[in-house]
Amino acid sequence: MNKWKWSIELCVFVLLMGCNPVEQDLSRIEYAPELLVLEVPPDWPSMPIPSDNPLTQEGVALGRMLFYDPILSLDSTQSCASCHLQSLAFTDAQAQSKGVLGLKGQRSAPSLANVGYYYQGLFWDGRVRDLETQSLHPVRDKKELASNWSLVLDRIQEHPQYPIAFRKAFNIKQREAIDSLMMAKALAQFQRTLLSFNAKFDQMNRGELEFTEAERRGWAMFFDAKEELPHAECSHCHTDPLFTNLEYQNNGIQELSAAGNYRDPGKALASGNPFDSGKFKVPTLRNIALTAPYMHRGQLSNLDEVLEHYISGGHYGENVSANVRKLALSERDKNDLITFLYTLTDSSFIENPNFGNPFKNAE
Amino acid sequence: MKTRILETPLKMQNRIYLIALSLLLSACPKEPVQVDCMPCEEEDIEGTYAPAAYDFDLPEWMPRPIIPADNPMTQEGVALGRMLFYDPILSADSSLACAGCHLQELSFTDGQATSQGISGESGTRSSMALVNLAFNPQGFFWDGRSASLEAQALIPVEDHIELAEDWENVERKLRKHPQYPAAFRAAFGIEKRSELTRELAVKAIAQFERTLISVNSRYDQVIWDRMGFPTDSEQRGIALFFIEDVQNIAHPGCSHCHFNPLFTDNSFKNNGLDSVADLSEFSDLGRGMVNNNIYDNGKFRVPTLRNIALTAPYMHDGRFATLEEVLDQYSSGGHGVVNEDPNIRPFQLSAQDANR
Repeated sequence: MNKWKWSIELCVFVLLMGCNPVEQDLSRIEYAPELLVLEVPPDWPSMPIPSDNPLTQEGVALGRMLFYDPILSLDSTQSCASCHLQSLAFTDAQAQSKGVLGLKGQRSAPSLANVGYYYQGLFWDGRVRDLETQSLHPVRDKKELASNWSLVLDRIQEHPQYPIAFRKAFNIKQREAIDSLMMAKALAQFQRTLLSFNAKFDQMNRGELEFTEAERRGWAMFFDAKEELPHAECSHCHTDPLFTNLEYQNNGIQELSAAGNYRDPGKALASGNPFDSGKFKVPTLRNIALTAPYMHRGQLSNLDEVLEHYISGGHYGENVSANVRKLALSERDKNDLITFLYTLTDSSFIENPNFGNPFKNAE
Repeated sequence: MKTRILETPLKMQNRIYLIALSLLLSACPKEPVQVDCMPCEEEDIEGTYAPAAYDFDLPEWMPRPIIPADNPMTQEGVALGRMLFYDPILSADSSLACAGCHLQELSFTDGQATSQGISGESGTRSSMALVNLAFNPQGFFWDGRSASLEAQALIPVEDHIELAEDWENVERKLRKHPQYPAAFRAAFGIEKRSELTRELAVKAIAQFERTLISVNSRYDQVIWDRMGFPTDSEQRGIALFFIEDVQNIAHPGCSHCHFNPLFTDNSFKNNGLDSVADLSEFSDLGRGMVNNNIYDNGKFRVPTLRNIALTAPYMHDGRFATLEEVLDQYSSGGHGVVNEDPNIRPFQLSAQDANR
């Protein structure tokens, strides 16, 4: 009996020693980050990357783990990727997504394609300056991951792998040095790698493919390129190559209340300027065929409804963009525009193994 | 003044139990306790000292709290400070605690223009809301005369129109108390009752006061936490409060001093309450009394507007009973006294706008 007890205790002791999960002194692990240079088409703008958070292989790999790890949510049931699915260009097909507490978000999950270029603020209302700041928000948001930083940091610091990954990415010496800003930096690095520039539209531009007749007509109307075709006025805001000018506009999607306000004041909530009321970030149209439903609250369920909205000129509002006005487009024009929008779908983006769930690949 | 502690039979009973218990406990390993010197000032305090850090867990849009290097926040310190804050032991006749004039349900004010101390005599200024004090770098009280919360907490105990006690006596009472010595040990690691001092008591009170943080109003929920949208009326109110130089919108200019997220800039201003011919004529000199600068006469702390609907009456002397009276005062635009804040200018609000 006694013998048994001893051997069990010994076993437990050996087990504890053997899988002692957290390296106390991380400085013995090598810190030799490898800088990562993003490959983008030569005529694209250069991505604004903060000098205190250069892209490294290690940082991006860590950010990718964090992005796909439900450890960031209160009850470990949701990760960033729960509402940003790669297969849907990092959206989730919901008008408003539900967080871990079952509360619905106020706005639709936006696509993360080329999000690294967004230098004029993030979120639909632009309330944060950069990806580093943005990444801090969903963790605490009660309608999203509903967690808190002390809980998340405890889990990360006690984790068998994360302290080592943080050491390799950010040169920390102890696991206690991991903080929320460091996590946000890693998440930002990963998101900056989410580039989409290989749609049929790009291949046509590079001379690798020809557009069909319908695509060509849609393209011409989109860019107001031909006098003989109607102008759809899309490209004033959805400019090539990102298919967004990154600005905030009122596109007339909301109706004013009797008191002259919008239910969701959008940008005005962030800027405090009542003349920003009803303005939202112009979303990218890259992969737009994958990111239904549309608009900041997913009000429109398909591209046909979107086109109908713009043809109607939207609701009145004194700050509605001058480019949103009644359009004279035939049924054929509308269909050709939608056909053109499908050429912005980038299958190499949604299939890129570097953007997928790292835990799945490990299986 | 000597203490007039009324021993109820129950309290007496408790004390007897306690003595009996401690006798029993200490009987075996130690010499018998000398009852006549109990508790001895030089006796070791029983209990552990293993303080746990206090985590504010503030949302990222709030500023970081200002914590003095010599008074780090601990859970034990906060717990002790809370006991002291609510304990009338700090007053001369055990009738009034800090909480007597700082009621939680009124955002730690007391609904009085000026409050009465233990003697029934009234102070000259209104009890201040204790909200988000951890973010104030500019001194405490209406006139900012205490540089820190620790220094501030010393004063009401000995103010004869507040708790009217003296600290030496408070220290005596705390040292012989059945719970406080162990609580002080848990918070500050003291070993003997004689090391229990007023400096440690105010440190604990300051720690507790730094935890009184308000960041979950409807404003925070809507603007910061995005839990819903502002109503029509609230949108108009936000515009009136924050916006300047917009045509067709009256701009009261509230947010010059009461800005987001604290709704105070923690400065001292003359907001144009009193018409005086000469700066020396203010009935209450306010800030000027602290620094002897005549241009600071009539200046008082800009109070936070968080929970303002709960903290009537208003102004440093509680002269206005309602928020309507406050808005009437501001819209009249002050009296043109030389050191009035330049943002005090007349404006016109409709009754509807005032209601926002």
